[in-house]
Amino acid sequence: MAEVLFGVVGLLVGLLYLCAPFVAIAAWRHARRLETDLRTLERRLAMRRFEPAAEPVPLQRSTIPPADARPPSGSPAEPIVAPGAALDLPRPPSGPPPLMYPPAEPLEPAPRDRARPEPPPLPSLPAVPSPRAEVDVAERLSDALQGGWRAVASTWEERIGGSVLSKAGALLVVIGVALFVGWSMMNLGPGGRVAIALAVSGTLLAGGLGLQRWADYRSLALGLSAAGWGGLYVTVYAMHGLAAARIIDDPRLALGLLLAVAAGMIVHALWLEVPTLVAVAYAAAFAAVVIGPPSAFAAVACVVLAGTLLIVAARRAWSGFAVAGVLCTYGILAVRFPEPDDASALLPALSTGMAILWACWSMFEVYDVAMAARGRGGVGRAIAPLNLCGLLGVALLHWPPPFVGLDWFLAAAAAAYAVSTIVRLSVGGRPGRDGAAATIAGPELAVTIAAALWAAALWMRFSAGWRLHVGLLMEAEILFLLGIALGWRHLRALAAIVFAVLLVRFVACDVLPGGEVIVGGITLARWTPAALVAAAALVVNRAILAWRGRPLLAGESLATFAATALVTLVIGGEAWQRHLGLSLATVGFAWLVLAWLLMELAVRWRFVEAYVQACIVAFLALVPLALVNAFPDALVTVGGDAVPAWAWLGPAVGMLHAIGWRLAGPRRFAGLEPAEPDVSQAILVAATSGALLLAWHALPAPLVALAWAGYAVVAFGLGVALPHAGLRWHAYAVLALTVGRLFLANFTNVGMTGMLSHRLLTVGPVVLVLYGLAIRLADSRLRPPVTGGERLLGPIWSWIGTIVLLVLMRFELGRVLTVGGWAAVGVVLLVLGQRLGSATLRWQSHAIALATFARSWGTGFAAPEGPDGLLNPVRLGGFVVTCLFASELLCPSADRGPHSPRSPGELLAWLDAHRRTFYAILGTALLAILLVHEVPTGLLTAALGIEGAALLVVGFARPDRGLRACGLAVLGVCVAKLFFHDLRHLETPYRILSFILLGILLLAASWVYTRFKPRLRGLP
Amino acid sequence: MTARPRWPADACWWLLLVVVAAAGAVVMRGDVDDAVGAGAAFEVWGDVVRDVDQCSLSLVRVSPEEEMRLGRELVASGGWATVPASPWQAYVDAVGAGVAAHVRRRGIEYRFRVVESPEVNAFALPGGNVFVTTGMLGFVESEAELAFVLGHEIAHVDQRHAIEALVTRIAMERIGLGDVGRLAELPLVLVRGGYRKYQELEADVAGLHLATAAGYDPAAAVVPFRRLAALHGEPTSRRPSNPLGEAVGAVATGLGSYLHSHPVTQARIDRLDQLIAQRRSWGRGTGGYRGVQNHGQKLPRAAHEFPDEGGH
Repeated sequence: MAEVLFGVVGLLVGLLYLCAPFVAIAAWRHARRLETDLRTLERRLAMRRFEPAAEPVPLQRSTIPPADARPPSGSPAEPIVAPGAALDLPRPPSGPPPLMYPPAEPLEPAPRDRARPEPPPLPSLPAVPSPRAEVDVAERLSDALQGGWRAVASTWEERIGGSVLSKAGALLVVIGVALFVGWSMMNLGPGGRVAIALAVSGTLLAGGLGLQRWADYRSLALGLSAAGWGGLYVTVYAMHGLAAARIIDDPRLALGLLLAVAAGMIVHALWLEVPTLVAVAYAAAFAAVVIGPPSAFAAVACVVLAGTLLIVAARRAWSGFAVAGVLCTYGILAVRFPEPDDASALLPALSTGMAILWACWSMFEVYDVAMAARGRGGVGRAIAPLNLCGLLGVALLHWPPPFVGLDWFLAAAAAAYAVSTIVRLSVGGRPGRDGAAATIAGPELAVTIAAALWAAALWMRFSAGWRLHVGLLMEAEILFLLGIALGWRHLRALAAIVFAVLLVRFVACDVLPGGEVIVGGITLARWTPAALVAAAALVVNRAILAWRGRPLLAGESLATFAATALVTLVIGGEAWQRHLGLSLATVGFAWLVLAWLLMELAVRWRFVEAYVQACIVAFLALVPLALVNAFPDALVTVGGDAVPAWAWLGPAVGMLHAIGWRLAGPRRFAGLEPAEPDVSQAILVAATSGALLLAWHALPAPLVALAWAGYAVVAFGLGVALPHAGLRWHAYAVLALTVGRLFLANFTNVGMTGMLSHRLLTVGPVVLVLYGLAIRLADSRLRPPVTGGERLLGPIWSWIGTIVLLVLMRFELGRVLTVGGWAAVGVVLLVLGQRLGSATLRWQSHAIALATFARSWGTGFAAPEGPDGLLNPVRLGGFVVTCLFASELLCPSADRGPHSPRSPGELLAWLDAHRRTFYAILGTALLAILLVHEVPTGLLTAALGIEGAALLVVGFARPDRGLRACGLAVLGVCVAKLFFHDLRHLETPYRILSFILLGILLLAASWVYTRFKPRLRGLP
Repeated sequence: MTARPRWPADACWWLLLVVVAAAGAVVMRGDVDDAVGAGAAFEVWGDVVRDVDQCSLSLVRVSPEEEMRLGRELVASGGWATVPASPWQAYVDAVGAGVAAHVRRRGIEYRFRVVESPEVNAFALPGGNVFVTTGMLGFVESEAELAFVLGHEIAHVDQRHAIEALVTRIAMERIGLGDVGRLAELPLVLVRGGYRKYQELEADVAGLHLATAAGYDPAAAVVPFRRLAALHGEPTSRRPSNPLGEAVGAVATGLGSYLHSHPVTQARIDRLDQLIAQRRSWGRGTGGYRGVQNHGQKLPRAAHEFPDEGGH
């Protein structure tokens, strides 16, 4: 009895507390209403004073409504002039547009608005007929503005007082009731508590229902109704859900009551059509579930709430409610997830939280599908992803470790989303088809989720091993084929993603770890079969796309690249990681084979992707080959014999050349014309480098240069025949390397075959190649004709050939004896140069003559290594001098060429034209040196005098002015020597002999010059 | 105008390939030398430097009398521990005289001196002054080997290697700039150091020529070098892994040895072997006196020829 009395007192206090603000609000609103009516009356009076004016104000499109068109009193006050409407009143031409309300900010437009174009100028008003009219207009404007001010102030005040406060009051009521219930729990039994709560809720609800008949108290009525419904729902929930207030043990009854209250709430809310009320009511309801202990009943209550909320949202198109419902439901389930043993008290079919979770998901999914079918967007598009996140989040949050059965859950979710996809497709079409942007709530999202969930399920089910690969591969393939069949590109994109995941998995998790599998009796790495099958699938898919003529997606264009990458990895893994008895070099070779196959594919079928892949794989193959050759200690045992790792260079080089043949051969690939030359050059460089390296490894040192020269011959020959400029440049590069190689291993080589030195046998052919190349480059019949830099190379190769030949002679004959060979070569080159008109050959001859002279001067023809009797200094020197004079005699007289050279080119031409004199000087000087070395000191002057006289005789006989000049020079030297040296150092007989002989010679020369003076003037 | 057919030029070009292949096949049938080094390049460079140097040196003509005078001064200032009373002296004089009989510069009088030293060495000074240590005399095992050693040192004089080092100073003294000549010797030593080892190779060749001309077995020329190589050994470099490494190694080695006064022993052996084979191909160099017993008994071949020592 005391409890009831105490409860009644408390109830009265609570009601008083609750009613006080409402009464105050009602009084204030009543005063406001009176004030509003008064203003309206004043405004009407003012308008009546204005209307009898003589002339109508020429207003255009006046937006001032008539007084009788104003909204009825009590409705939300509207501004006199709607925001944004134009009021066609006179205004300064440059001033801001007419304002509806006094600006709270300066009249200058906001910075972000300054960029906006100015509004078009208002049409100018016609001339005002009288000053009186102007005054009226001004008064009218003033009144309008003041009225707008008042209307605005009234509006926000009314909103705060009539709407916000009521909602706040409702919320306070709910809190107060909750507090009161909590307090009453300490003093009352379940029945008392429920009774109090029901009384409070019923009172509030009744108050609301009663007040809503008056429009002026509508907001208050809404607040009371919301509070009443919220309290009622909490109370009914507490009647079973809270132990302190449990008076209903039957969950079915409790649930029925709860549903009834919810239904009433929904009906009432829908009747009133006030979203705020609905929001408050549902917030209260969800809060009630939250504050209760976790149980299946709470979860079910939550689901029921969410269901009703979805119905409301669907009926009224309040998608925000649906989103809030999803968030609240999953949030409550996350924190109040029912334990499995707690569910036995409720329906057996819904005995687990997981079932409740699925029910929630289904409910939201159905709602989302329905909304998608209606084509509604907005914030409702977030439902689908929120639903997914809620489902997975709650499930993962409450799934007991070690997550047994989670894979099946994910699979089930995937299946559910697959069904959802089908449903969405059937009800809403395929919004993402034909390249349209996928909607977030459309079938694209559903099928994407399904694919992801299925992949995750597979991953959890088969965390390692080939089953995971097969599963992902099947999923990707199914998606791809469905995409092809349905013409749905999104599925193909998903397939590409799954393929990408599969590839990443291969690379990241499966390549390096060990593990084997036996397939057909062959032991392979565990991932090899799946990788090969995936590669095959990728290739087949690419072929299907090509066959169906479908445009490729971004990922699909990489399908064959991925397949090639897989095969490349498989080859690398099988050949290297698992060894298979071979070395790292086999990896490079195997990759080259793959590259060659791809290149064949590219060439035969004009398959650009295969071409690019072939090039990539070929470049990749070079890495292990380079490593093997950089670290030659990588020896492995094959067949019991130690084989150097470079042995695989042979077949690898063969493969490189086979690829290079497809790049440079007659049926070369022409799919990527802009990039093809660079790529083919790179491959050809690799092939050439490999060939050179192979020769270096496999052949003895002196034969390397020979092999390289042979390679250059082949490269140049093919470069001309194909034609392919790149190959020709390869030949030039290889030949340059060959020349360098000669200095390392051939010139000092001491090997012999019979009587032939290996130096001669290896350098000689290289010289022939060099000269042959020079001749071919100078050949005007060469097709295609070489141009530019290649043409300049002709003389260069000629020079190099000559230099190599001279160096060969130097090492073959020795430092001294080589002058004989050089002199002979010089004569030959001079003859050839003059007959062929080749300045290059002539200049080579000049240079050789100069070098021969210098070497002879320095050595004095003393050659200890020479054969006795055959090439003693006199004979050797005589031969060299003879060659020089022979060259002089072979040269034409210097009657050609520029007389006064002004440029380096002209200077060279002038020197070349006077080569006859050049050879005469060299021959004369070298003969004098020979005489100095070989003639006894006492007879030297006489010998030199004879030389000078002989030169004069020959100079007259030929006739040759150069020889005559040389003869005179020698005679002059003799005279000088006679007076400065012989007088002091020679013995008397030699001195006398020298004087007499030289005197006779000088006299004879003088006689000849005197006797044949007229004829000498005409001699050259 | 009808274009001439291309096939002759093409055929000739591809014929080069046949030539190259044939040459390679011939090489493979012979005794292949697998040595690699940058000696050829440095030797060619040394030739160039030497040509330039010797052309200028040849302008300074030093008479044999002047060279012998300088040699005597150097011997007097050297302070070598010569042992004229050594039992080897007469033997060395006899062998040296036989070898020196075939020199090119006839105006030089050669004098052989035995130096008491365990070091295996021999050297020559301008003017025909040849020194040989008792260590060297004990190291060689035949008169032919000694003849080659003496011939090598005689060749340094005969080829003017010995006087070349002094020519600059002599030229400066002639024009009254002796001090400048001494200052100029240092950079010239650096310049000539590049080809000094090629002078050694030249002296090897000339020494072989002199010893062979004196009737000794040319094969004995390489025996001391082989014995030296076996005694001291020479570092053997491992074959590099690629051509680039080979080239870099060869250049580095060649650059390091460029300024060495003496070439690597194995290089001298190879040169001499090649020269001996070449001379045999010319019909010379077969046979020859060895004189092992003569050397053991310090009895020169000129005094007695043992019948089992080869020779004529």
